[in-house]
Amino acid sequence: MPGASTNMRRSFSVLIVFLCFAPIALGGPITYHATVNTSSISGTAGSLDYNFNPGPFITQAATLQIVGFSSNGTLVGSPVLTGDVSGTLPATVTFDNGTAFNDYFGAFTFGTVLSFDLSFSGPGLAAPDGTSASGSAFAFSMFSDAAGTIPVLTSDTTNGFAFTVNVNLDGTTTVTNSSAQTAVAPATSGTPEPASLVLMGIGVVVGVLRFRYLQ
Amino acid sequence: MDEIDVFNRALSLAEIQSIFNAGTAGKFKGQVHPEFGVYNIADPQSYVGATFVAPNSAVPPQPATTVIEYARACGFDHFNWQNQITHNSAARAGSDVEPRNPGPLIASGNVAYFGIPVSPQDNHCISDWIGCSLIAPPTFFDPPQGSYTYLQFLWNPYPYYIPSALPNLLVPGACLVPGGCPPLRNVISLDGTTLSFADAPNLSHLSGETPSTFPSGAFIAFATALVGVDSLGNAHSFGAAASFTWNSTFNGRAGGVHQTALAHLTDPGSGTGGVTITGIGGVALPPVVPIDQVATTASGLVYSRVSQTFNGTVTIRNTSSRGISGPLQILFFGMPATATLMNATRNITGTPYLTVPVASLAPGQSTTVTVQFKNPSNVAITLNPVVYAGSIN
Repeated sequence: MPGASTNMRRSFSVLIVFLCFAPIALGGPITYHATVNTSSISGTAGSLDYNFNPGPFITQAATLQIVGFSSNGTLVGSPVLTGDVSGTLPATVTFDNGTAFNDYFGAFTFGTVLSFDLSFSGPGLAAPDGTSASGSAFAFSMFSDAAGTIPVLTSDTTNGFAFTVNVNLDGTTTVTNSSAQTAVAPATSGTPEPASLVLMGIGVVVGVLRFRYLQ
Repeated sequence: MDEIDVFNRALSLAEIQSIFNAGTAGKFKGQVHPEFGVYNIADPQSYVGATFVAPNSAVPPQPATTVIEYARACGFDHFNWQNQITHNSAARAGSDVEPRNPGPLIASGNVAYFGIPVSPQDNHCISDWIGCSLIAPPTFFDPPQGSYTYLQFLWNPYPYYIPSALPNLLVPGACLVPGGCPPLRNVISLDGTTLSFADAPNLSHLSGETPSTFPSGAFIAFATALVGVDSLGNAHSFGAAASFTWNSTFNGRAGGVHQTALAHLTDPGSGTGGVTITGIGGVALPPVVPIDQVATTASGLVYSRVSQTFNGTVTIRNTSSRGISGPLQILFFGMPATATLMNATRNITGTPYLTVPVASLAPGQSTTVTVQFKNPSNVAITLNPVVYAGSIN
């Protein structure tokens, strides 16, 4: 039955195409890689600030991790943690948006470069409830003083943010970068997540079946 | 020596103490208006509430002043909330629906309700389902300090009010709601610095008349005011600046002004109605945009160490099929006493608003404004935005 064979092949092709375009990390974190060229302020005894907060209306839960902090500068002293924040740089620092102000602030002597990854996750990204009315927002700022009052490497002189990331109500994220010295880009996934592995496995199985069928 | 009074009865120790405590301030200073303080109205779409914060309590590290201390400093025994009905659109001439339209309730007999548990046997009830006669109640000071907890009756004999939806205050057997209802609330905070009020009125309790006969759009208008109460239980108004007005729609078989599901439905088969704030501090608000015609959302609030403010945006979108005429006003109800909307167009006794200067908002169109909050105590800012269409004078 040549017709049946054609239909089967078409079905397999449609299935494979579907699997290729399926969301491969549904529910997984959204990760950005940030790199800052701090050579112009190298040696400055300054400070870094990270905060991740809910909005003024009902806000769905979300989590942020700062991972892979790297710099030839020097973290100085003990950081000040406010709200739902845990961890100490350069190790992983974890935030959630459970309180109004979730902040990590620490003194830092700048080198020529610093980088870190931001990994956003939680129900607010993986499963937007459609009823919450506020998103969440992250801000990163650098200062040329240890007290955190003089912003540097940003054109945002009003608020001093180098860049911000908004977690929107539909689970997407939006980056606003005010720092010419800072590059913020979606991070490429190095390790497939469990959900991705499952889908990849299905793809392999379908491929093998199709190969056998054609044989 | 002034303020001489002759009493035809013996004063209680509390009354004498109150007069003594007033000192040179005198027994009654109704002519001197205390600073109103911060005044919040929370969640106006399911219940109405307000909080009076004693001055010097809102901004630490200033020493806290309790509400009672502040009242005594002003020459009063205490503060309380006074509710009055100003209009009942469902009332008709010759109808047994009370109160008659228009006009406040008329005092009859009992006058002192402040801090005194009121007997349910008093003539306070209007014609309702427990068989009270049609005697008009006194001016309705509701609820008294400590709140009402009428467990004796199947229905609350104060038919304008059903308990507010606060599950942690459930009182078994207080009403017909499964699990019981919380008492009506008029409470002083544990630290004594705030006096709160919350209520969820429902028109269907007003009379035995069936809700289906109410005209479409029926509502009752209320005026709620903070008042100072002297040692004899007499209330003294601070005027419109210390009051707000609001409409309540019934739970609605025939529609309503502002259709929002109540938390406690007295008629589960219909179940709509709600509260709309119509004026604050003597400032009249333009018509509200019903919540099924506009969506109000916000971004997260990022903190700036430079400006020491929390910053974000608020977006309103016309979700209806018709244009909404501007300008639009976004009122932020429920602002914490220690937080401030820095870029507010105006703050009406604790309730800030932002004017969105648009001529109109077409169906599907959105507009976004920035918001900037001071929040030195880092308290949770969970506001209830309500959009009004028109100017505020």
